[in-house]
Formats: sequence, C-alpha cells, structure tokens
Amino acid sequence: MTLRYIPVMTLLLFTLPSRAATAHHAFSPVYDGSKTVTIVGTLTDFRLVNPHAMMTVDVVDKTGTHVAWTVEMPGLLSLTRHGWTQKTVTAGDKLTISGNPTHTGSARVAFKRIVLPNGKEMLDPGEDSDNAIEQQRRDRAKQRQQK
Amino acid sequence: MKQQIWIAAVCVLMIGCGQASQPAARTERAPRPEFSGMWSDPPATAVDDFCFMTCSDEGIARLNALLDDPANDSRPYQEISREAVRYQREEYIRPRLTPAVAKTFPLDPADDPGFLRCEPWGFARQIFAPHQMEIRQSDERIEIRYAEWDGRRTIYMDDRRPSGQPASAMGFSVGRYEGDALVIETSGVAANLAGIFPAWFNHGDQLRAVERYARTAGRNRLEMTVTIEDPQSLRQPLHFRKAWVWAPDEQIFAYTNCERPTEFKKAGNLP
Repeated sequence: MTLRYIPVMTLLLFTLPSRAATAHHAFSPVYDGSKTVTIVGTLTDFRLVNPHAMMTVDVVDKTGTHVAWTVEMPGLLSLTRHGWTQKTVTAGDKLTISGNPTHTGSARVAFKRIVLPNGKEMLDPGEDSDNAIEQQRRDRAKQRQQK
Repeated sequence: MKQQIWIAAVCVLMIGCGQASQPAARTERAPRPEFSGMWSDPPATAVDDFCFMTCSDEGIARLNALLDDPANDSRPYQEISREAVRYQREEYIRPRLTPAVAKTFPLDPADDPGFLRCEPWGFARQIFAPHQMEIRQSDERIEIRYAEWDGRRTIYMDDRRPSGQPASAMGFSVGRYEGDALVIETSGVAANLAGIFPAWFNHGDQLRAVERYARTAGRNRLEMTVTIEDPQSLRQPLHFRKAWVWAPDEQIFAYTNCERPTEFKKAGNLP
C-alpha cells in the first residue's frame, strides 16, 4: 500500500546542500538548492553505501500512477555517524521525505529530512552540523555582548 | 726519534678520528613522530566546517571577521560561510592563477570527471578529501588511505628520488621528519584538477607540493598545511590547510557504488 503524493514545493532561500552530501561531487549540476519538495511514499529499496546511500520510494501521484522516486543521500560514513543503520528503514515503511528537487523536476530528490513510521524525524547530517554551529554562534555573540 | 714522533702523530690522529667517528656511530635516530592510525573529520565548528575540504588562512580570517561583526549576528551561518567562500575564491585563489587559467576559473562543476565518469580524484584534490584518513607508518614508507574514493598513496621515507617515472594521478612522494612534523614533497603528478571544492581549475604536470603534518591539541588533532606550486596554472604558490581528529573507532567502508549522473545542468551556480 502506498500513501498519496503530497505536492509540496517550497521556495527556500539559502537552502544549500550539506557539506556531507556534497563531498564527492558538486550538488548544483543535478539539484536545485533553492527549492524543497516533500514526497510521501513506501520504501522499496535502501542501500547504505558509498559514496551516496540511495532509497527508492514508491509514490502515488495525483493521477493515481505509481512513480519510483530516487532519494540521494549522504554516504555510509556520514549517515552511520548520525545513527543510521541498514535497519533504520525497511522495505514497506511509509516515509515522508523532504529534499531538494532536480532542475528538471524528475522523480529524484536530494535528502534533507525524513519522518520514519514511528514519527521520528532524522535530518541530513549537514543540517545537524549547521544547527551545532548556529548554537556556537549564539554563544559567541552572547560572550561578545557581555564584554 | 722521528719514527717515534710519526707513530705518536698517527696514534693521535687515529684516536682523534676514532673520537670523531664515535658520535656518528653512537648517534641514534630520534624516535620518529607517530601518525599511524585512523583520523577523521573534526566536530562541527564554524572554522572546521569552512575548512571541511580545505581552506586558506585568508579565508579563515575573512570568516572570523564576518562572525565577529555584530551586524552579522542575525545572518544564517551558511550565508556568512558562502560570503567567506566567495572571498577566498575571488580574492585569494584567482589572483594567484595564470591569466589563461583564471579565464576558465572556476570550471563548471558539471565538467568534473569525478561527477561525470566516477573518475577518482588526482593528488591535488585527494589530499584534501574529507572523512577518514588511515596512516600506516614504517621506517621505509608511509601508506595513506583515504575514505573518499578509497584513494591510496605511498610516501617513501628512504631518501629515494624520483627517477623518471611517468606522471601519475597521485604523483611521487618522498617524506622526512622535521622535529615532530612529517614533511612530504610530491612531484610527478599528472595534469588534473586543483582548487577548493567545488571551484576547480586545471593544473599541469609540473605541479609540486610540500605537505606538513603535525599533531596538536594533546596529539588528538592532525593539522596539515600545504604549499602548491605549478608554473602552468599558478603565478604564485597557493597555501592551504586542513585538519583531522583522532578517530580510532572509525573505519573505511567500501567505495563501490559511484553512480554516473543520468541528468545534469551545465553552469551550475557556485555558492
């Protein structure tokens, strides 16, 4: 069983691929970092490999057609450091995935965040890093203001 | 009498020579600094994130100036980082390129053979590879294995010199210790790409590099500085730096699933 496709296309300024996602080649030739798309579907395949882990998700579009979406993710190292294992998701899981779409609008997305069947949200490792750095910046600004 | 004097003189010389040679015979090699083991990405800080691949001191200075400016407190880190990246690219790298290379800098990321054909990086990119770097050290040689692309290189520590080998992707590297530092000189690198990800330029086969590695921060951090010279692409040397942290629990995984792109757009914008 698949879930209905959620046609969400949001313009996000300053959305960029994470450093982890872009380590082995540039992101910009394939993906549009200024936009985010969200898909909801059923996992059919997950390969936790290098240089990029890959998911295939069966998504039902507005017309009821099943479309196999490819989700390109950071590599094995980055994901395992952030708690991913081959068992984090299994075929048949219903997933909500957000990421950057391709320039052509094809059924492919660069992973930014995922909501697992148990409701747990997992972020692109690069977003976790960005959040940590933003916290350090707030601390640095606070120290500066206290001087 | 003359004979006795000669004998005495020879004896004195022999003793003198013996004494002179003694220290050399007794000289023990200083214990070599240890770099062996697994190193990996540092924890996320603004500077280490900025230097994820590599960076210049000028770029770091620009980043810190932006971060220290109260006017930027409300700007997202990524925006500030991009501004420092642009500065580094345009104000540090570009002026050091030869006019011909500067014209095409930065190359279109869609033309990167690593992206188009899954072609592993050459030396000038591989030494800045993120993620793990495993060092195996012996008296004669050092083997370095990088997680990215599963790149491997050998550094000869036995004073051998290049002897007309054809240029290769990783070149020919010889190393020595200077105090606690490991210094590596590399030449014989085949023409390929250089720069700071993803702003590449074409370098020639006369590229030479001097890397210097030293352990800092209680020996748990490995800092590298490198000077790159290339008469074909550079008017002045480029100086870059990068760091890793001690990561004995990490491992290098197989790198066997590179996927060639099925769709892409040329002239992708750089940050």
